[in-house]
Amino acid sequence: MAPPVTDASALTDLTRDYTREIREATSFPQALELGLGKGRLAPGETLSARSVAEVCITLAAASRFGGHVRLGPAQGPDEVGLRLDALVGITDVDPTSGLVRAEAGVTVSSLEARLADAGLTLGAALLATPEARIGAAIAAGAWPGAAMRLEAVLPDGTPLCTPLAPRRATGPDPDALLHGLNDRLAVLVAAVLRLDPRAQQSRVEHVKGPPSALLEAMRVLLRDHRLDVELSATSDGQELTVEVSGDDARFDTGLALLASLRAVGAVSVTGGLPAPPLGRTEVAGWRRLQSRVAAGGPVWLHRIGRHGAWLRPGPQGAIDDPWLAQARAALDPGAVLRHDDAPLRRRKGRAT
Amino acid sequence: MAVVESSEDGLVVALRGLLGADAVSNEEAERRAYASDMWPRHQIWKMGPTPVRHRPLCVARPTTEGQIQAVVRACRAANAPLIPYGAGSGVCGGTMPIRPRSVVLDVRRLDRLVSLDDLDLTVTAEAGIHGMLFEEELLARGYTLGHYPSSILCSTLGGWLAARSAGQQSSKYGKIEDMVVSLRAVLPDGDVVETGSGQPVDWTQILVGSEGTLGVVTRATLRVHVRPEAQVFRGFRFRTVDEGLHALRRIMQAGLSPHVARLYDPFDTMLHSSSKSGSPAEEAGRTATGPMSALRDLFSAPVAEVKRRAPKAAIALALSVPGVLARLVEALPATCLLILGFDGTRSDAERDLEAATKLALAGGGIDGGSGPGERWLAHRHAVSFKQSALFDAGAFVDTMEVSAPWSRVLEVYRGVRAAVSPHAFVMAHMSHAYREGCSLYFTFAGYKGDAAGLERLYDRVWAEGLTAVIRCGGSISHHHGVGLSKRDAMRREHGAGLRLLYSMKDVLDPSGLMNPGKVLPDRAVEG
Ligand SMILES: Cc1cc2nc3c(=O)[nH]c(=O)nc-3n(C[C@H](O)[C@H](O)[C@H](O)COP(=O)(O)OP(=O)(O)OC[C@H]3O[C@@H](n4cnc5c(N)ncnc54)[C@H](O)[C@@H]3O)c2cc1C
Repeated sequence: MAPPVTDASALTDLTRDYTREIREATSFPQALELGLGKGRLAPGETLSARSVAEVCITLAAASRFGGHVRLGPAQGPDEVGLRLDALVGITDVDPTSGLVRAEAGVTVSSLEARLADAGLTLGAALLATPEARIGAAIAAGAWPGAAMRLEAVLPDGTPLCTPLAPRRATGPDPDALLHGLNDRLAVLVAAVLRLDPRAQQSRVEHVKGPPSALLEAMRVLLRDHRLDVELSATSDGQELTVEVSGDDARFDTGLALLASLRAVGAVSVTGGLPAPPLGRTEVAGWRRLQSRVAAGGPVWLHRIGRHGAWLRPGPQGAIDDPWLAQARAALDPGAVLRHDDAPLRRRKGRAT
Repeated sequence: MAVVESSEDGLVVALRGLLGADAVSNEEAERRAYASDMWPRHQIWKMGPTPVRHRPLCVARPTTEGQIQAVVRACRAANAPLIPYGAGSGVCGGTMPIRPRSVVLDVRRLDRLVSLDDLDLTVTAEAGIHGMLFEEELLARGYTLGHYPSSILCSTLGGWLAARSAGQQSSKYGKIEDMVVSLRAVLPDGDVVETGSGQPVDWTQILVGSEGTLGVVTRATLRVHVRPEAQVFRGFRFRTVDEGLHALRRIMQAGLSPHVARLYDPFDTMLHSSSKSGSPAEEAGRTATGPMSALRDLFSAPVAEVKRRAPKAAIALALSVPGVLARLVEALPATCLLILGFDGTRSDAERDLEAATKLALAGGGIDGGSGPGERWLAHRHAVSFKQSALFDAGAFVDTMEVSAPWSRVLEVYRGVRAAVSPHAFVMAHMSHAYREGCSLYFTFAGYKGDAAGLERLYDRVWAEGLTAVIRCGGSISHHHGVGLSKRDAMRREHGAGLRLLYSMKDVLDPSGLMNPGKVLPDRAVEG
């Protein structure tokens, strides 16, 4: 087997005390200078972090001296801005396990280009948004289940990695407290993504037709059969365009599906699907898919399978979960982290 | 240990008022029965002077979600710990009432299959439903959940969800966390929460795996599949574990989904070959004499037979020299058995088996026909109920199920064997495979002449085994959960991520009354 390359210790040094550099500091500006170097960042300015260590130091400095860190451009003298676009490390490709670690600022297209040599691909669902950045997409709630591990930095500057295992039974899933939470509890800095083998020769077919009939035909076929192809679709309310992609050498099941779609009125078309919006993705069953498509308006479906699909746009709006707000207060008592998007409201009451 | 609870406890009286007299028991026999789950450590305690160490105050058996809410609120008002209980088949001490005045909440009276949705292919059922009865009802209606833990005859849906259970068909159907769509739970303050998509926080995946520490699961909606028309099997023999792993990985990464994928290491292979059709290694194993034969009988003979064929002295002798045994097993002209099974429509199953067979043969496998798989199927629920004979002989046996990405699996296999072999006999199989990696299921057995020594040995084996798993890049549990037994290793499993989990515990259960002491290590000793 190939040597293990997805190694936590090589990624973020979890044992390192990132406050070491700022131990001698007596103020927020001085801590930033000691930790990051002279002239690199002062309150009121914005840092484009070049390493996870810089994220840790910035947060540790703010946490220790009552400063604040805004994810985005700084908006006042008591805070610094933090951008993650320059975190572009693709440190480990593990072809044996089909995994890659990419930092938050890596785009889908640049990552896909790096994977070509290893014979791996991110797959159609992720490639649908080539410009998306890994960290922002996952923090926004895109791609449920696509990452096997998340790496983040707590508001006090402590780095964490969730366990790297294909499945585990070690308590609640901490990824659920990072994915889709827009960095509310911790700042997402990297992810280990699951990959597919790249086909020697890939094949992509598109057909278009009446939405509910096509959805129903897919549901019926998938109910009993496993297909060797990946299915995506988009609907404008009037018509559903279905994309069938896979390995040309194993496209038989894709052809069977295309035949059943044609039987209910689908016709072949050329061209790809438009890019979906990046935000939250809902994992939806067939009933919900049918009603969303019937309601009209643009809808994107990815990873269509036996029990439904990824549905975008997913639920919108502020993250106003009361428990989350309390957890945040506990993890970030000094309210170090500030966000540009809608605030986390503290609401009384329960879900039921 | 002195037990100070009084049968007149006001809480017992209050609970009887809420549920009815016959739904709350504080009889001594019941309190003893609910003092433990299937954690093998209890068996060691039974050999010593204090067999029962922690008895609950009482056992409450609600029949509705509303009654569960009432019990939760009553316990909260009385500042009494509450322990959700499925069927007690957990093997990590998860239901053990370690704090005084603990109330055990047995949810098995909530046992209805509520509804089936043929369009979405989902089923909704109450948490206390018995595993096998649930699956049988689904099969009768033309569906399957596809979840077949070896304990299906003695576990519940709620227990599966709480402990992130895996069935024998997880390579195709996934683990329970892959199947669950949404759930309802009574939270530690007595409110009910309903999880599901459309919410910003994925509360389902936070409650799943919480082992009763964040609330009581009352019902869940899960994905089902159409009952498969056929299942087909084929066995292959590989020269080494490495070779077998390589083939299994290629099969999973080719996009094939065997519903059964089990790779046994040499000794485990020997146990699985009861017919005359095995390899020379299996023949050698079958005809072995002395300590080797005692050991083989220990693991493979029916309970009654063990005592007759493997007397205590032989077991003691065999397990007293685990290092020698390990070398003996390594000296066998070993093969490793891989069993593959596919289900679905007959044509799909046969097509996929053919594709997998090509990959297995290309990877050096020797075709062993359908026999090994069919034999496994016939005995799939019979394997795990043989503990007591070993414990009777003054030995222990336990299992450690861990997981790792493919690039780490062999390292974990070797690392754990090297760490455990000096202290106990160890063998393994890999029975839950995914695209990115698989689970490794170690079985180990050890012996010491006295109960105290045996318990120390047991702790040492676990400590060194788990340390090796983490050092080699694995996760400390794939499907048994954490409970008490792996709680202290959680610090190394999650590192600073544990703070995220503590924050959830603090928010949902600020008084710490829900199954206290389980899953999360004490913060007081946090390093
Ligand atoms: C012979 C044998 C074979 C086994 N094989 C397997 C196997 O193949 N796969 C596998 O995954 N496991 C296996 N196990 C372990 C065990 O069966 C599982 O952990 C199972 O999920 C426990 O279910 P239970 O209903 O018995 O739960 P219990 O043992 O009663 O409880 C387990 C944990 O879940 C909590 N809990 C139970 N019900 C609820 C609820 N409704 N709400 C909240 N928390 C709850 C408890 O507090 C406890 O922490 C095996 C055990 C034995 C003895």
